Amino acid sequence: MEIQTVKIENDGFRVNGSMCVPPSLDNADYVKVVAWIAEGNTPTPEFTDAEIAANTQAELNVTSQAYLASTDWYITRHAETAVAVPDEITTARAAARAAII
Amino acid sequence: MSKARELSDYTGLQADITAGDTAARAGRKNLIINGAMNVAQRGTSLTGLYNGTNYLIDRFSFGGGTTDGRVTMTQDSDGPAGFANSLKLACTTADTSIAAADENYIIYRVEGQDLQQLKKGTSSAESMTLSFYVKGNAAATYTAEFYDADNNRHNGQTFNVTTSWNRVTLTYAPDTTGAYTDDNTIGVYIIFWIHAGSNSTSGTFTSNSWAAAVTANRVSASNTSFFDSTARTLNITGVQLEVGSVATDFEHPRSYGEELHLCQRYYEIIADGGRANDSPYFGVGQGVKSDQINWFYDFKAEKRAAFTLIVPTVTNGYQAKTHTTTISGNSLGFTSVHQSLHSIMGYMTNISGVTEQSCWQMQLNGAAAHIAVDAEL
Repeated sequence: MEIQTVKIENDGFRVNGSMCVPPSLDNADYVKVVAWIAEGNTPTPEFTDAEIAANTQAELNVTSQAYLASTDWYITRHAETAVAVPDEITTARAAARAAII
Repeated sequence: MSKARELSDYTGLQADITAGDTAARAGRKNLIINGAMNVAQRGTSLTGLYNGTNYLIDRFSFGGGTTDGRVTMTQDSDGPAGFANSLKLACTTADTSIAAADENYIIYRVEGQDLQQLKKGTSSAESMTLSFYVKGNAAATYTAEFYDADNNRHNGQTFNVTTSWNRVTLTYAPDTTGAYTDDNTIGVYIIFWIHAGSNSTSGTFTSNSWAAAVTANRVSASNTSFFDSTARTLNITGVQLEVGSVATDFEHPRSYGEELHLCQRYYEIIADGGRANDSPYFGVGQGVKSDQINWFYDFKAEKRAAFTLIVPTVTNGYQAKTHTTTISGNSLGFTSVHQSLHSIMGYMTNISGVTEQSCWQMQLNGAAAHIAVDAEL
């Protein structure tokens, strides 16, 4: 196995995209990564800035959609019984809709 | 029956046992796992090899570095009578300009705790005998070296290869210096040198003599370079290491299943989408949060030490399923905490739509998807 890429992942490394290596000196692959770093190489972060942004947005989408789903009954009640939707709910639902990309 | 007759019979029986012991020592005499090269979990061919550590046939690696030569390593069906397989190296790119730092070899690694019967480092240290069958495309001389990783001592001997299968028997002197540590790390490397530059050959090679390791003394100057021609091949099988000065018959009675189980201490395939008759399932999953499923798998054999999870990236290659729902991921991962040597808790992330505490059937999707764990020395 020749090390080509090393990415920091959790408490260990992902090597060549397919090997999850734990931080243990009993692990032969970890010893190789340590040697690779000692040669002057640097592991890349687990996520690039773009990946962090994409992950953050994905989580925001899920959270926002869940909030909308959980407050849909206000809208249904208003449609069926004319009971007003509380202002704070209306405001929060608008914010949730805006957050979804 | 008289007492004298009984005693006579008993004495005769003991003589028979002693004679038989020399011919074929009973029990687990072979310290080598997979010496007959029958288990090859990783595949049957690797090409373009020259550096690093490359496993194909379980427990035996090919590696080294710096040479311009290249090798194809295969599990070959050629073997001496009684052997169905051998490890074959074939030179595909020659290197006739040997650099000083060149070194290439087949290596077998033994845990220190499996070497304690040699009593190395004590006044009652045992000799040991390494035997194996070899064959080449032409005559060649290589070096078989024991390298004590705990004490940085070594002992090498040369052996000859011909165009026919022949059994090599090398007895190594006992070493009263430097005990093997009784643990799960490397005690000794058994190194079959097939190519070496002057860094390893320029000193004084003393056959069958333990000494503090000196790089220049490790390989015989008579060592053939495997890379001298693209015609060069080497087959090896029937590798056996046993205590004592006698090479007994190869320990054939181990079944494939036994040998596989011994190998799985070091490397185990959890699931392989590309292997016929293999289960594509890799355990049970549990929904942890909306974008994560944790999966659990009990190993077939306890691992030697902290293991590497091998999982190639495959688009939608890893799936969590219920009767009506499939969630697909491109890879899997794990964190070293919460692991044991008996099982793994992995995760699938970068997914969505998971309900907390939901239960999933985890399975591969496609021939390229593959999961294995590696705890090799």
